[in-house]
Amino acid sequence: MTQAKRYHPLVLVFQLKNLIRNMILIGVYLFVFNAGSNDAFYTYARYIFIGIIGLTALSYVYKWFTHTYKLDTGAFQLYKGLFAKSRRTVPFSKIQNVQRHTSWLHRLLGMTSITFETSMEDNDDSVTFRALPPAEADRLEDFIKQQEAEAETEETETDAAEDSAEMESSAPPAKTVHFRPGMKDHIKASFLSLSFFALIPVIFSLVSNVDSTDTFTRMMESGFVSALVDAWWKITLIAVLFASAAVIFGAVKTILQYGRYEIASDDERIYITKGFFQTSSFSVQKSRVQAVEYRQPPINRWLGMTEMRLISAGGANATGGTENITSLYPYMSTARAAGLIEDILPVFSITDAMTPLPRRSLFVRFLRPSWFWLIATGLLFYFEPSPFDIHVPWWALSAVLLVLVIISRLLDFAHTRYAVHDECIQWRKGGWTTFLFVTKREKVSEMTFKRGILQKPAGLSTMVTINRSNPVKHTDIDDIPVDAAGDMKDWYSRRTGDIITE
Amino acid sequence: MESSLQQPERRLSKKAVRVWVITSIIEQFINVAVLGVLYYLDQRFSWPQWVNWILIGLVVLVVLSAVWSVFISPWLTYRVWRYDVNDEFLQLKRGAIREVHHIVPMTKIQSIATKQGPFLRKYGLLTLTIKTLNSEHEIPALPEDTAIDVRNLIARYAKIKEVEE
Repeated sequence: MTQAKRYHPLVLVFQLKNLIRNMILIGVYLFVFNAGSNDAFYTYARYIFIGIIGLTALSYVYKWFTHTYKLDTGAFQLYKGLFAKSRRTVPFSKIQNVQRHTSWLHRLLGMTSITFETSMEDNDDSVTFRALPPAEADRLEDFIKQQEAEAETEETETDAAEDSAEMESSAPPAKTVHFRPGMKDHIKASFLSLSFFALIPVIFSLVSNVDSTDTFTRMMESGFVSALVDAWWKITLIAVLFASAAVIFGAVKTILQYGRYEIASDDERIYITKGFFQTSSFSVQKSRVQAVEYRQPPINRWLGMTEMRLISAGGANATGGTENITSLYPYMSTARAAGLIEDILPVFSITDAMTPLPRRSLFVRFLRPSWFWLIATGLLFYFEPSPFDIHVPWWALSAVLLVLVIISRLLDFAHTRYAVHDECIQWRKGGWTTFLFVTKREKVSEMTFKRGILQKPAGLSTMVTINRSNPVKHTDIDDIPVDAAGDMKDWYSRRTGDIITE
Repeated sequence: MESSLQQPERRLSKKAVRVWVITSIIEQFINVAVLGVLYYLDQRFSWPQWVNWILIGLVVLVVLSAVWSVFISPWLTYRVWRYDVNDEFLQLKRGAIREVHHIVPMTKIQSIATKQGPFLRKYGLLTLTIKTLNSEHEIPALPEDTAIDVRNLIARYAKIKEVEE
């Protein structure tokens, strides 16, 4: 462990792949679409293009030669530079979570990538290995785990207990698998994941078929009824084809994404794995989870399902992956999600005894102007749009929007609830899509209370918590009674009892 | 455990009002100057009619904001601003129309700085800037010696860092 090492040479392949992906559009534009052009602009542009690609590729090679890493006791040491050398130390204790991603190319080459994320705003402060053999990734992860565990036992235990501590750390703690989607979950997910998007082309095809002058003239020419039957038969066939294609597509997508989905945990950490061919995994120390957020879009609420997200302080975007692995299986039934949290993160377990808002909150909410509606009405008045060639007066559309805004506010009022219990604070809000947020006092790094001009006479207040995350997470609840806000202040003032100081 | 949070009581320096009035007046002069230049250009190059309307609108805005920022806002700001420091929390409360009350645990404070522009210096005042990992706060216009005291107090209390997990 003392020798500084270069990164795996295959890193170059992945950097090249990224380079090609980023440049391919410009390349196609220069060399394919304008292949015949002898214009000076294109000629020079091509040389510059090749120059840039060549230099970038060379810089990758240079970086590969000069960048090295070392695992020290307690920290990563990252070296770079040939003449002006720099060394960066990333202590293991600052690592918030670990992400692993295996793409198609990784799989083909028998590699994986791993990122150790710290809580710094800058992505630069996370430690990324773009390509390394899975065994090496395991070794890194285990080494850090072990170091962390040793650091902890050093703190808590005396020399006399050292032997037993060593014995413990040498045997890896048993992982418990808490959730693996079954066939039923897959079917549910397939129907939910894409079917609604797939309905759009179906509807469009229906509309365009009925509207198309072609069908219409044929109806006129060759016997009205038979043509109608003919047209409807076609529409039905197309619709059925589309629907089944959508479901199959949804199923394939679901299986690729969630086929080997797994949520597991041991005493220390939570592990989430997903993906069939392209796999991603995520692990976070339980004590580093900042908050848990439950999200329910209307469809999920009607079907009794919940999306759950663990909020941690590490940046979730460092690997460049678009998929958000911190969100747990999104098609889990609400009861199961609650049970799962109780199993893996009992400190964040939610209570059902939440207080609804007083009626005066609703009153205040209706007095508040809806900027969305005002601006939308202004735009409607000015542009007078007629969607699908159906003429609708602007005020009718505006009225429809107003009704939607009112329903959304009523729903939001009905959904909003809050509770403070022991060390946790939780609240729910949202009109169409609801959010339930649970966090611990110790994890709330700042609290803000606001009272606006409408809230003051009604004795209401807005509460904002700030949690460490990347980006910083501000979460608020509007129009709670001032007394409740006061209770929350008192609750927060007892924070000092929770924290351990250095 | 008893709540350690009292409503914050400490106030800014009364002289702050004068500093704010002076800086607002200067700002308003700059605004008027900019408008004057625009009006001159408008006349000189006979810009289209709608530019006139926008200019008139801007004049109205400048007058309103001048009245607010010179005659009302400084006094209101002084009247409602409160702060407090104890060994556990820094509290800031401000805002006459929209009241905002920040509660920042001492252990989360990362750095604290003082700053002083020419007008603050003339009246012997200092502004404190307090940074945490996630946010930045200001206590504007404290008397110099108070500001130094508060700074040292925060620095002492904030020295204790909690174990970040």
